[in-house]
Amino acid sequence: MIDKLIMYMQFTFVQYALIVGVLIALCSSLLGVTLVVKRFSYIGDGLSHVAFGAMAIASVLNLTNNMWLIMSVTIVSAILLLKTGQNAKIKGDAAIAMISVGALAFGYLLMNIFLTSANLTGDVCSTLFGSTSILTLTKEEVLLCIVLSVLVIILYIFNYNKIFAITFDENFSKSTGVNADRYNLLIAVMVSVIIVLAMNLVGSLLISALVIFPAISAMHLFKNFKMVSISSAIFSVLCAFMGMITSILAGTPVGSTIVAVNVVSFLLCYLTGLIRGRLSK
Amino acid sequence: MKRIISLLVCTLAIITFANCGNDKSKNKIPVKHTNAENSESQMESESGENEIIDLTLLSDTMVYGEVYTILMAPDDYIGKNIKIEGTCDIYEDDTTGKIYYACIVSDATACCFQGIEFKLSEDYAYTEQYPCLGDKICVEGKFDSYFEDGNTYYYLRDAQLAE
Repeated sequence: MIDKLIMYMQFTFVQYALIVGVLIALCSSLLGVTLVVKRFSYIGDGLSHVAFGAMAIASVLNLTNNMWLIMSVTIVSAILLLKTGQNAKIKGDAAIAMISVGALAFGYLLMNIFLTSANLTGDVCSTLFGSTSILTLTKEEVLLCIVLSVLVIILYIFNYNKIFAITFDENFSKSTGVNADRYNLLIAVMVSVIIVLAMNLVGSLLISALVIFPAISAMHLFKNFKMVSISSAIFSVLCAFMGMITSILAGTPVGSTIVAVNVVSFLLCYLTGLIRGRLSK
Repeated sequence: MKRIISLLVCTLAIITFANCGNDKSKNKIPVKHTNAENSESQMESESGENEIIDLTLLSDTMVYGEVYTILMAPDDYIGKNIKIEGTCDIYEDDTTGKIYYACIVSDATACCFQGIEFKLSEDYAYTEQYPCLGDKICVEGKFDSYFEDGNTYYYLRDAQLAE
């Protein structure tokens, strides 16, 4: 098996997939901690459905490079959902549900009406579940993913303290002079970028797993925000790496294999936290 | 501390960029050399004539990715022997009456399909020894291109059906 793995690692498309997969998992986990604490866990799912709708529009318009349209629409949706913060009339879960199902329905409707592809079912299935999208990346797409991921990581590190402040108590942060609206906007943009990139890795329906599971797993082991963030990143990267390796060795869909590994990781962390809690008593 | 971490992240990104730019790292897929002990064949092996790119040794996920790579960068594979396992698909052009054979592979979820066209060698009697639509086949041939109706198509030339 090791020989086979070494042989597989020599393929360029496998190297591309691992690089992009690891970076996306890292960025998703960092933002995931903030989203989970702010009770916006399901925003990954919502925004990915918006991205699916935008992709459908781009397909109908026959755009050769649809990434920019998808990202723009997703950013606008994320701003509408997150920037309003805690004082919105339509609260987080309802807003996410409205935008999410609406975009998904309209997207699929447009693709059916205008029939832009010879294999509509395959394209939709691949976009929703991300079976092999991560293995069909071009060099330009990989470079774009790297640039955007590095940018997100740098922005997160530089604004860590402010993000921490608005995550736990937005109103208090505002009262102490923090421009919460600006940082909500920043989080919205970063989340949008990562969601669009993550669609290639796990597909639209499974993106929430990349956001939620590493953060929740880390929260069962650590109580400190910094330690949760760091361990969430480590779990996410390891799970994504192991998921991709398992997928290419066993011939299973990449997206669902990564999520399955994340679930196993969560269960292990949950049990560890449980045992540690009982022992400390 | 933040600057150090950011610098580290940038350095890692630059290293990754540099690796991505390395076009010399071509896919090294399972390759068999035939008659390697024969000196004449060794010369042929050195030129790649007897190399077989055996996709049957890869998992389903890998096969789909590699076939995609072949179809996206076909010129890199011209002249190479490719062995592929999949389902036989037959297409008849209503205008010209020509019949085309292809070996189709699917991804792990079996919702996306792609394949490579093949033309069996003259050793095969048409239609008695040709595969039927939907048959599971293993075909090996030399990857080549042809020009038809103003378009370039890629296929496996002088293909043989393997067991």
